[in-house]
Amino acid sequence: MRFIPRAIPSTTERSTGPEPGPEVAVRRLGAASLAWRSVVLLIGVVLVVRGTLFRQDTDWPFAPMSQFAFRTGPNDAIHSTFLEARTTADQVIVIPITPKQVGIARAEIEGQLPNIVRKPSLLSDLADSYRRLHPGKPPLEQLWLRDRVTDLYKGRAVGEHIDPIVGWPANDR
Amino acid sequence: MNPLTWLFAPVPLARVALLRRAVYLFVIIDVVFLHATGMYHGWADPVWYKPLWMGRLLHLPAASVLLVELLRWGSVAAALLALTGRLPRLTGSVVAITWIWFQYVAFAYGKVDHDRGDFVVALLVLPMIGAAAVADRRRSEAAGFALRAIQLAAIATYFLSGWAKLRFGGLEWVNSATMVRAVVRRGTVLGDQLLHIPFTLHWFQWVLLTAELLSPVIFFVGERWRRRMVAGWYGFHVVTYAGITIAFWPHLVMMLAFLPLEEYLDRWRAWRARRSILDDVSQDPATQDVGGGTAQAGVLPGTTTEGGAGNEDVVKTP
Repeated sequence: MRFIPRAIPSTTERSTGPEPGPEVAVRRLGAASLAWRSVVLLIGVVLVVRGTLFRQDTDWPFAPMSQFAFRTGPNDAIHSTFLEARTTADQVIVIPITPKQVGIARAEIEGQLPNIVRKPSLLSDLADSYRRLHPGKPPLEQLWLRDRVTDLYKGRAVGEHIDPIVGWPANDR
Repeated sequence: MNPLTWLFAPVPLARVALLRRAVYLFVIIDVVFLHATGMYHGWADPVWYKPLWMGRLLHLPAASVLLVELLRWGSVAAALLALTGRLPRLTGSVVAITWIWFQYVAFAYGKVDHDRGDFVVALLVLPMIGAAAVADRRRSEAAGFALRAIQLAAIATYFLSGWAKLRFGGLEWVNSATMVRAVVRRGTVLGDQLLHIPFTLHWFQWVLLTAELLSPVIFFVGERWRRRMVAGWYGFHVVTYAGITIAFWPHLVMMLAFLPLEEYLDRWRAWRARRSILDDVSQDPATQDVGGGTAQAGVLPGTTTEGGAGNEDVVKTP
């Protein structure tokens, strides 16, 4: 890497075209420009590091990069929620929880599970979104939020079963 | 080298021009095809809205279909204008506002993704530079700073992800079943195979955490090793995508800030020029009996070649 020594006095470009000699024009910044950029960068670094060490997701973009940071024990159970629903055509279907299906992602529902269990009528919004996103399909009259549980033993999957979480309008199984 | 010299090391404006093209093209692909969640939140009931700090500070409302479409197509329009290279500060600023707000809408409904925070930095620093053309080989300290900021943000993504694993998962994270869980929940056919081969996912966790915590080393090695490390990270993302279809797309664009984009462009142009000259030579009847096709067309001015074929008048960019 070739350096242009700072002793060469210039705060603007020294030429307007390509140079035949060994040096190419360099546009330099004045002291004030160097200063404010450095300060802003430093503040950004401090905020991001603070976010990683002490803060939570709500501080985005200064949040910890916690994707996959959580530990699943080698003998834990893995949970994955999905929707089961009965349509007005009396069919029972399984609906993966994705933005295309119900307007919201699975991880987002899982992030709000306590609220949904406390207030099952929140599931009616998913039925409404489904109807709006799939106008040609029969609407949903009963929804169940279910949990597909995969059991681990020493880090290997050894079994799977399905647990009910909550239902709406009838909170049955 | 003192920190200020490193931070503001001048970089050709051509590199900024090329990086801008990649960044604004990605913005268009991202909001139209890739990152759909924000879009669907326009239909979601406001009861699901859980404002982030940023939204409370700026009093950002719950998403509506109108807001979401404005942010989405506003990003596209501003990015298209930015791609023309005109009014880069204005168009760049508009793209920054609309795209960042669109991400906010995506994240304010219970799930924050962590692959897009560093892209925010790229969108914020690129408008600071002013006009930059692909043909402009003049070097600029403002451009140098912008690229360093992007590089730092890109590496911080890896380094701080490592620290987040230690904070939330503890040292035992390396021996945990986190990768197993990811593959069980969203694995591909390839990913599922790894569930059956013992120790692969476990070993992968050791390698990943080590690489993440050592990632800042990239700033202290020579150019060749730096490029190998960049290639290594790209390789890691290819493997992760093949296994669980998660790729940190915006971040992959950021990693381009380590590479001498204008040199790659020169080499590609030189290759094309040689190809077309060879085609001409081989089709010219006058040269048929000379067994043409071995002509070394010579290196065009402004290009750098690895062998250094007498191009002392061209400055190697840092």
